[in-house]
Amino acid sequence: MFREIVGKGDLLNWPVVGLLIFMMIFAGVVAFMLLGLRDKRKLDEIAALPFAPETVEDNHTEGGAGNER
Amino acid sequence: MSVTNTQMKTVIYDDNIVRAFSIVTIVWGVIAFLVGVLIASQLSFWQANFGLEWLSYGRLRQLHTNAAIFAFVGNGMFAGIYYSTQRLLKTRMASDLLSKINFWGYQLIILAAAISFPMGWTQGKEYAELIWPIDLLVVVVWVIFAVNFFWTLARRNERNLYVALWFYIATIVTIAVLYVVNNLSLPTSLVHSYPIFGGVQDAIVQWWYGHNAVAFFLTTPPLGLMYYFLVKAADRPVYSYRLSIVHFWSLIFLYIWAGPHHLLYTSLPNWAQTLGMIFSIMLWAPSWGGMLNGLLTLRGAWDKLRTDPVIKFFVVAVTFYGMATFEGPLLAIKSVNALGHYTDWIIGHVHSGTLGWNSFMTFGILYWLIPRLYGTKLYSLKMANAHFWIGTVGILLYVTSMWIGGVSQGLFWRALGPDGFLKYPDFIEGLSNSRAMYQTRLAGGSLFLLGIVLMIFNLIRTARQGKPATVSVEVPVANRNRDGEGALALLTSAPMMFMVAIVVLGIIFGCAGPVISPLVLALFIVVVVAVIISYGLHKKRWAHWYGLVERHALVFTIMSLLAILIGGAVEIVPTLVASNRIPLEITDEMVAENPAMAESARWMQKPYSPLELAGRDLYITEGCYSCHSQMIRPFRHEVLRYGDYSRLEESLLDHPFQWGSKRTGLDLARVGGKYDNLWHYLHFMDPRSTSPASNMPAYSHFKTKTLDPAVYTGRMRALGKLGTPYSDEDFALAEQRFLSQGKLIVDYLAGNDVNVETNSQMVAMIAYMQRLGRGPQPLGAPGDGSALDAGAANTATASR
Repeated sequence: MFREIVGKGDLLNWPVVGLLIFMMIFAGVVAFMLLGLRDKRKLDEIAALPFAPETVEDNHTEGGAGNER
Repeated sequence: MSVTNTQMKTVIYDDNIVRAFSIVTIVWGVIAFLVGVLIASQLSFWQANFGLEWLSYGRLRQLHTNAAIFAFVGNGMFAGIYYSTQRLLKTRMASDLLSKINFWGYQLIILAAAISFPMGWTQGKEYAELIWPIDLLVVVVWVIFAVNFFWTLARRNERNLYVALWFYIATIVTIAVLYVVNNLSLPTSLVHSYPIFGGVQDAIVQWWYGHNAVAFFLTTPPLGLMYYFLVKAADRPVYSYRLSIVHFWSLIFLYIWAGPHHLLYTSLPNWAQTLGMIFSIMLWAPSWGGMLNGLLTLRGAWDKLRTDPVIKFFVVAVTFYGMATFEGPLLAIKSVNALGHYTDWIIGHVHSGTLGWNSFMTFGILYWLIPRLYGTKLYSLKMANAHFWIGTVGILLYVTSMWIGGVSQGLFWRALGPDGFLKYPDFIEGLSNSRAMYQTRLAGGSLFLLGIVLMIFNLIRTARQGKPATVSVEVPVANRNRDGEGALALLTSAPMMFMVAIVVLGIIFGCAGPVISPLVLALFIVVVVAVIISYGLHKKRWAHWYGLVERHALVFTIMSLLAILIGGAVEIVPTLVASNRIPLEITDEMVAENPAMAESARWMQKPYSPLELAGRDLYITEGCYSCHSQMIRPFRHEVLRYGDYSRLEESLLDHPFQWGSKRTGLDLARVGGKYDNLWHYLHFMDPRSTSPASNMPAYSHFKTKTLDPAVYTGRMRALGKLGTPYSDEDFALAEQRFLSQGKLIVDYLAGNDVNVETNSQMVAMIAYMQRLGRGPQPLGAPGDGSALDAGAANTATASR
């Protein structure tokens, strides 16, 4: 059945190709992450990047939470 | 930038650009939502069109969608990206000048759009309506933004690229590819062009673009912003950085395939529809992975939900992201789509995304950002909380009314009586039933706008009580990343070679015949096994390799580009190639040679006459596709209501295609010949005169405005270059035929005591309406309109 459908249109190989490539890469990424290949300490270090210290100058007060108005 | 000692230097961030984008986000947001409320009023009360052509629903709907997406969300995106990128890379933007050109160029684009849509200057493709000169400006501004961004990446003082930056990179490269391909067109004047693709090709390219505009403009940038601003507001790192990596790669790889779900049960080849549906369903996983990652970031910080309006906005935004990305794949299932497509359910769906996800995300960012940009505290927490609740109630009223209205419409349209015929043959009855839902939607939208007014007041007071803050960071001088270093080694490393081998083998497999295919497949499996063995033997090297990828922006960008190109190419290339194999003109000789072509020949579209082409261009100008489809799906209830289902061959010459995506009014694919010319005249002048419950705007200006027949010779020549089989005789006689065909309609109307000019817009529109679903219509005798029976225009049998 599958061969019959694909055989009738040479272009119909492409969706299959796309699906195969997708599955390969997706499975690779998932395996890469879930098998714990990445160094957890390194990942935690990257995850903390938004919290790098910075200096606020020329301001009245430090920005942040609002007034109970 | 000054060096404080031999190891450290001070980097001052450019927050002026962030302040500028934040301000215009609010300004354009008000305009976008105000126009949204106006067009919601028009759907409830037709009088709100004010009888003015530039305020009519079809034109303003384009302004609303473009303003909401590109002006409001777009400026908010730029504000967030400029703020977070500098901080994540610990460097100032590479060029203040490029930042300013990006800002002013983008505002110029929006201003041009705000003028051009009411004027009726449009390309007639949803979310890609901007005319070609503005498209060029978009490309220039986007390239400038990209140069500035990647230049900043190259100058960064932080080696690692945080996940938010990955989403920004994917946005920049994908939007560039989508925008350029979908807007390829052949200009005929400064404000008009024809897309190079036609019919089904245009349809697949358009929705590949349309859906991925949602994906890569309304989803990936806010997700990147979520990974920065949510964690900042929660004051804790993202729940799982591992999950964010899987989220990113799976999302960008899957999203690009999902476009065809906008074309289910249309004339698009079935394999493409099925592929679109399958990948849409697969999108559930990464979307919900991202949503859960966002919500779980608040673990241990849920108490902030009671007190911090920023967290409230973010939590509801992420929740709506989850709801919208659940509903999207649900609607992409063919059997569900059969009910929901063309109804207001889709409108509810997209607004749960844009109002709930995009807008609330933007509001949360603004409430977090403005106090920090002005070095002060938020003026009023209570007002922000009030905004949150008013906005939330507004969204819920909006989406629930559209869900109810939409499902009701779907059920109403498909209902068959015991005799197997339509239970409700009068379409307008369904519209009348939706009126209460439309009014509820109007109330919801108005509440949402009211909330924004509160926000504006609050943020203005906040800014006024502070002053622009200057923020800096100390960075080690020697830590500057050299992005180019090792890039070549990385590109030629074993994992990259394996990846290239897999893709190349896949392509060979796609091209190979039945003999070679099994061999290629076997080789494919060998490579996969080799990958697994290599991975097992060199785990640390592979880990190091991916770490390098994350640090090399160039390699990372190339991989992202490949990820999105694969899906797009696999779907679009076969459609383009397959459609090109269907000749745009089938002669009797060709049928004699190949009898299988007889069926295609039967349905093959013939070129429009000059007058019909003028009418079609007007149809696009007025944005009629906002409410009318031209695609009859192969369902009994649609065939009974509208006529035989639409074939692929019937719209191959349509540049752009006008299949539509919404039916506030009837499908028009086969409206030709259903009503006489007088009916159409009366309907355009006052739709209530023929359909008392209609909410369609009046188009009385069709009677008074005239067209220059000479223009359409040039437009026919342009279409001829794109493949429409016009002959030299067609070009030579174009002006005469324009007038002689018009004369037939004029004479018919005159016989009913109605006088219109032969070159009026009214005559062209009637000619186009009468042509739809039928073959060529009588053109009259050049110079003598009385040569043919005037009534023939209404009764001629189709000759396909």
